[in-house]
This record gives sequence, C-alpha cells and structure tokens, in this order.
Amino acid sequence: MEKKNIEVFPEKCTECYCCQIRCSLIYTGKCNPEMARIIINPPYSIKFTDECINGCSLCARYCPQGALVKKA
Amino acid sequence: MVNIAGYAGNILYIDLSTGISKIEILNTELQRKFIGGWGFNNFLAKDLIKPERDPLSPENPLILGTGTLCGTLAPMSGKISLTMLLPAFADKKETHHAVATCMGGSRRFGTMLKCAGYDHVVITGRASAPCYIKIIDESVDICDASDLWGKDAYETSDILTERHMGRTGKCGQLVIGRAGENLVRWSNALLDKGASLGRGGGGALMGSKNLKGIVTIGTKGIGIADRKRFLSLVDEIYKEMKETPSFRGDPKSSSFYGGGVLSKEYPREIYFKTRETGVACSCCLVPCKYSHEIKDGDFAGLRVPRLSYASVRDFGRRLRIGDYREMIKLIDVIHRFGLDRLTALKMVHFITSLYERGVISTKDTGGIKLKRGNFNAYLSLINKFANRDDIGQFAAEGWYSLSRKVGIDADADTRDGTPIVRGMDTVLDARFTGLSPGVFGEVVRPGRAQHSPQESLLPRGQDPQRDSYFPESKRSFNDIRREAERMGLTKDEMKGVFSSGDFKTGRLEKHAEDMLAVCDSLGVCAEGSGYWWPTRNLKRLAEFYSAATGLEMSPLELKKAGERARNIERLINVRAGFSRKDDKFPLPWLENTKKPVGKALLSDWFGRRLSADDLERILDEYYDERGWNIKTGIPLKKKLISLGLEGFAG
Repeated sequence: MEKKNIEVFPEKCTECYCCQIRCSLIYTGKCNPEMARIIINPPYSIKFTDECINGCSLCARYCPQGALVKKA
Repeated sequence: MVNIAGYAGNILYIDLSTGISKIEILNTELQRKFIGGWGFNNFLAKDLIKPERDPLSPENPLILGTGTLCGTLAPMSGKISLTMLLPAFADKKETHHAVATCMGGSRRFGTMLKCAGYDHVVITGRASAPCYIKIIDESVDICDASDLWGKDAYETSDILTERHMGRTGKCGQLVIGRAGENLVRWSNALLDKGASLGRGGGGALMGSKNLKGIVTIGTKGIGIADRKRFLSLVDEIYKEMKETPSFRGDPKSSSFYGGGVLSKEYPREIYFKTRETGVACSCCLVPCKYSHEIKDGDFAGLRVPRLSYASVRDFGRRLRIGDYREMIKLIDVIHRFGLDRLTALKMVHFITSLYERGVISTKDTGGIKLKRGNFNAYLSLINKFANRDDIGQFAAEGWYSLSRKVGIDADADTRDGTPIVRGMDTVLDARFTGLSPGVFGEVVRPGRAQHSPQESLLPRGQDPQRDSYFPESKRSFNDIRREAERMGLTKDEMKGVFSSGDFKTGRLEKHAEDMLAVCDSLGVCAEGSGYWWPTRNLKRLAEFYSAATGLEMSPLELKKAGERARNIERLINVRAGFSRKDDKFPLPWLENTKKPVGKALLSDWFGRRLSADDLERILDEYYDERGWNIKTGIPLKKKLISLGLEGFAG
C-alpha cells in the first residue's frame, strides 16, 4: 500500500526492526514483527501492508535512523 | 507450549541423532533466580554439560538462549547467548576444556525464536548427514543441507534467506562456513549474516553435529505485562538519545572509527569512502558496525555486510598491508570461512614472523613463501587454516598445537606471539591498554568475547580527577565512580572498591562482571565503550524487566541473579578441573612487569607500574570480593548459601 504521509529512505535502514515491533505491539498487543504492517527488505525496499492505517506515523516517529520520515 | 509476558515460556530440546524434539515449560521460580539468556543457559549447563566428555562428541549440547528483553522493543536488546563446552583446548596438555558462554548480536534470530515460542534451544546428538534445523512456531524440522555443505557462510545465509522468507522480512538464522564443517577448534557461527557467535569453537560444535545452520520464524509474538510503563521507559531512552548529541559518538574522536590510532595508510577518509549502511542489532538505536564496500581496484564491488573497521586498520598496519582493499578482502574471506577474525589474523602474524625469522620454512607452510605485506601469501595461509592443510592442520587445533609444531610457545614469544589464557588469545592486551578492570577480566572469565561493561575500558584523561572528559572518549575517576553507582554497588561495596581518588581493580571487576551477567541474561548489549550507554544502568534494567514480565525485581535482586549465574558458571568449571592455577596472567604481561614494550611497563588504569606481586594481589582482591577461596578460587560455602545455591555448597 502506498503511504502518503511517510517518506521512505530504505538505504538508511539499519534493520533494527523497532518499527515492526512498535507497530505490532500497538496494533496487535504483542511484540510480533511478523504481524506488523510494515515490510522490511533493505536496502532496496520498505513497504506497507494493506492493513496499515492511513495517517498513522508511529513507525516514523520512532525510527532512530531517519529511514521513515513523516511528511510535513 | 505456554506464552507468558516478556518470556516466550518454553525450552526446546532437539536430538539430531533421533530427530526427536520436545518442549519443556519454563519455571517461574527459576526465572526469578536466573533471569534468562546467559543466566538460565548456565543453569541448564550445570546438568547438561559434562566437562569430561569430548566437546565434539554427539552428547555435548549446544545451548542457545535469548535474553528476557530480546524482541521486546527495549533498546539494544538483540543479544543471544551460546553456552558450550569449548572445543578449544584450555591447557597445554590438551586435556581440559572450559565451559563458557559467547554472546552475539542478532537482528532477527533472537526475536524470531522468541516469537516462535522458545527462550532456549538445546541441541544434542549428531545428524547422520548434513542438515539445518527449521523452527517455525511449533513446527520443528530437520532439513537436508547436502546442497549447502561446503558453501561459505554468506552464501549459505543468502540461500536460506531466499528459501525461508517471513511475511514481513527475513528469517532469523545462524550458519557455519567451511571452518566449522572442518572442525577448526576456534571457528564460529554467523548470526543473521552479521555478527559472529561462538568464540572458542561454536562453529566446530555445530559442524560436529553435521548442523549447517538454524533458521527460525515466529508468529506468536511476545507479550508485555505493563505496556504503558514499558513504553514510557523506552521513550525515556529515545528522549535522552535526542538530547545527547554525542550519543552517536564524536566523529573527531578516533574511537568513532572503532578505537585505536589512525595512520597514513589508513586515514579516516578510507573509512568514509567505503562505509555504507549501519548494521544494527534488534532494537539498537546506535549501530556500532557498518557494511563496507570497496569501490575500485581488484575487488571493486566487494561488500562486507558487517565490518569492524578497527580490525581493517589495526591488522592492516600490523601485517603491513598497504592497500586497504586487500585487508578488507582478507577479512571477507575470514568471515566467509567462519573463522574467528582476531585469532586468524594473530596466527597469520605469528606464523609469518616465524617464517621471516627462519624458524619455519616452506616445508611447514605447504609451499607458501610468507612475506610481511604479501596479500596472496596471507590468503593462502587463511585457506590452509579453514581446510586444515599443512600447517593449517596444527593451527586448526589451536594455539598450543601450533606452538608445538613450530617449536615456540606463542605466549612466550613476546616479540611476535600473543597473550593466551586458557588456550585462547586475549581480545585486549594489557601491555597496550593498561590493566584496567575489564582487561584483568580476561584472566578470570572462561569466555572472553564480551567485556564487562565499564568506563575504565576507555583511556584515562590527562587529569584523572577532572569531572568528566565525555565526549572526548576519555574517562575520569569520577566517571568510573558514577558508573559504579549505576551498576548498583551498595554503600559498603563502594567503600570497599573506592577510596579517595583510587579504586581496587579486582574488586571493581567483580561488580562489572555481575552487571555483564545481568545484561547478557536480559539480552541487552553491554558494549558501547566510547558512547554513553543509557541501558548500562541497573535500576533502569530492573524497571524494564519488571514492566516486561510483571515479575517485580529490585535492582539488587537483579544484580544478585547475575552474581548467582556467574557462580554457577564458576562451579561448572571447577567441576571441569579449573581453579586459581588456571587464572594465570599471560606470560607477555608478566614479562612486561619487568621489560618495557616500547617505553611502557605494565601499568594499571592510573598509569601506576604493576609488579608480578601486584597482579596476584589484584586476583586475591577479586576472589575476596567474589566470596571465593583466595587460595583456590573456588566459591565458598557461605557465598553459595547467600545466593540460594545451598545444593552446590558441597
């Protein structure tokens, strides 16, 4: 799914998976990367699943490397 | 299977001889006593590991553990542990092996294994043919690896990644290269195509079981008992990171490039020229390693997925490799074989020096004409290590075997050898670093890939009484004192360790080790010298543990759990025949108490010269602080009872 409010820089991703763990904890109640709404495959791609909520920027808020940035 | 907060809740046992696996539920009482990860691995090891056995026999188990906070979003929580009877020989007669735990930083493996439902995996037996283990939730399969056997570690990782992709990313994986298959006693395994795991022969242990690798994907997830409290602790660390500009290290400091001295052959420009993306462990906010790519020359396009640049620079200088591309290539080859990088490069240095001195000839090297700076000669030698050819046959058996072959003890040859403790080269060398507490720890801890977390691993500023040198990557006495308070030392303990402007090396190391045990049991990274590490704080770690699991644990209880596990580790090794006689300062350090290296004699963190008697006094103080018998180094009954280990007091 295309996420309009987040800009993605996969080359900056360090594969810490903070985004996946945070997303799954908030939306499924458990730390569970396989149930996250973001798919990580750096350095080529970071994508969002169809379950990802439009307008949510949780992953960007907590990405420590700036690979996910909330658009102004 | 059960699933409880923080923990996955289960131990998975796999017998490769029969192909049978079974699950045991974690005992909550034992979790409080040993926490998880490193601590619980040692609890399992006390019954499962028989030190009198051959480490490469089928009965010898491989015990993997994820830390309690692994996969939970706690910052820097990707560490997993491997406990084993080390294949490396621990004595010159080659009759003893130590029991030790190695740590490795996982990106996916620890999290996926826990999400699959397992805090620990115990692997015994030997498969009848090359295999890899696939763990996907409850499904545990032993898969054919005949197409992977013989392949290097990176190639194997890539194939398994493609074969077993998760829904949202890669599988977790642990694989070996040819060195592990060929039972090189100091080979290790590759974790998530990044970190190494298994210093002291983890690769050989897997190879002896015909086990090429382990892959895992988990979909069950890890629960958090008090989500609000937990997330506020995480957010606190994020905030501190943003407010501390030097959190990521100071680019002006040489430690930014992994520590050490830059040189004209290896200026900082090369670091930036080749550096690509940061490579983080799970939930790490500040990756300490990067991938590096060679942009031009004979090896243009070669990309090392995770490289310690300090090794490129330090060994490039020591081995006189003027072209950094060749040094990166050598390290790439070492990683692919699954050899321990430090041991491999030190052996290359030692053997080359002996060849140049005329001690050995092409008859010993299998025809290689070794010459300092000759890349092709080094490459051939490393191939011989991994394939056990010619001199490689002896090198593969470890330092003692190599020393017998060449007729010179590597640790007695202070010119070109290396300090050796219990069969393994020390990671740090006190002749160059000074004998700070963490370096002293090389003598007393069986596994030495990890350093006990402490500020005193960093060099002292010119004025040791200055309040702080941070962020210049030097430390003051007050920095060390403040850190000791963060490590949870009580008022009495502080009085015993510190006096006005001074600290006792051996006593401080005891407490740093207990803190290390806590970090390793939680799966939280204990490294990071050079950065301010917000997780190196016992009170904070206790809060994380309590919020994640719902089991309230005070800082002192947590530290005691770490100390308890360290005592179990010691008892296992006492059973294996180890005592004070084996906690020996290596010969090069003893020599340095009398003969300078360059202009420097062996000294402590303060720069004060140490004598051989001083070293024994430091060891006495360490044992005394530990509550161990000063003459034998064996835990005293009184100490064991105080830790709730009455059953071991006999």
